[in-house]
Amino acid sequence: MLAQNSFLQFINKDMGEQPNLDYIDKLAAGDEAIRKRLISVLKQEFPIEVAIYREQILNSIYLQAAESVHKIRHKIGLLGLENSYFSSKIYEQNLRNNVLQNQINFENAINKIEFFLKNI
Amino acid sequence: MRCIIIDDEQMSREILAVMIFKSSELFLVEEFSNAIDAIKYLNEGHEVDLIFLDIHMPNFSGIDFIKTIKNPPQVIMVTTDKNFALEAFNYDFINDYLVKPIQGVRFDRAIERAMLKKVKKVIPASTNLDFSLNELFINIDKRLVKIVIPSIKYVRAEGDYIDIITETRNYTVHTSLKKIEEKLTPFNFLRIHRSYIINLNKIIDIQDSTALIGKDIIPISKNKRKLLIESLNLL
Repeated sequence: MLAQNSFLQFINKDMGEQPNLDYIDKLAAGDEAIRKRLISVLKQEFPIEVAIYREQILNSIYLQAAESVHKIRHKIGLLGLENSYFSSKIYEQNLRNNVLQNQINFENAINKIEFFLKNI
Repeated sequence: MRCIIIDDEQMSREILAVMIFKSSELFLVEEFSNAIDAIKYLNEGHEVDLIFLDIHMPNFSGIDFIKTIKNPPQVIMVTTDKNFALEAFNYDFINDYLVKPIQGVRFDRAIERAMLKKVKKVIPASTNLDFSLNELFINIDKRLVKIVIPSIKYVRAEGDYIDIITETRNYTVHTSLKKIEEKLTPFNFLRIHRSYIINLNKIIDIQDSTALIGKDIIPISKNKRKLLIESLNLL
């Protein structure tokens, strides 16, 4: 019961965290051209991966959706959504077993990122 | 070290490219979004010292790639999940693995390991080198001047130029440290600082963060010290 509560607390933390550019800023180290380039690639690649994922979920192709989650997970991590990063790892594994548990957490994270990328 | 990136995710390739660009040890020669194109490239005989390889790629994974290539250079696996990297460690040319998003400190450590492996690989080979290859020609005032490589004590970067300090005289050449490093590494030379490559045979002593060569004190970067110590024949 305690373990379950801890797990739920861990999942609920997802709601609080927000995407940020700390990782990209650290990598760019003040080089504005590098920063712009990385953000541009992120803005370009992320929506494509998400669209593919949504299509796969819509068509219940869960194994392939797991592959997409795997790819998107990297971007969740580099945008600083640590809890969502770990939660989506579980979701990826669930999808490989045709289970959709953690879907809401994952999709909350990608919604946050979509909003974030539209506003930077 | 000449390196390539194989990763289907563009963001990953971009991040690695930035890290490689920042590293004084690495030079990115090519990047690939799939392993098949990389195999073709390697089969064409291009010189590559190090591969950054994503494990998790559709159709043809990093593991498939490892099983396919012959005479592979060093490989650093890149993965979102370190469990995927474990299978790869059955191969001795797998040098390390990096978990995405890659952290700078971890990247530097992996490169240090790769450099160390490269140094260990080339030093025994250098004992069998053809003696005629011990010479290096440098361009000075439109003249090609011969230098006997073992006579070089160290090389120092000075802006767009390098100073080559030999036992008898010094030469200033318009080139980069990176270029001469490739020529000197097989002869027991090592870059111990952003601006210095030294001949390991010429070291008199090492103290804290400096090496003494002749009467000259050469600085050792903090992140190069371990590599330097491991390159020496310690008792």
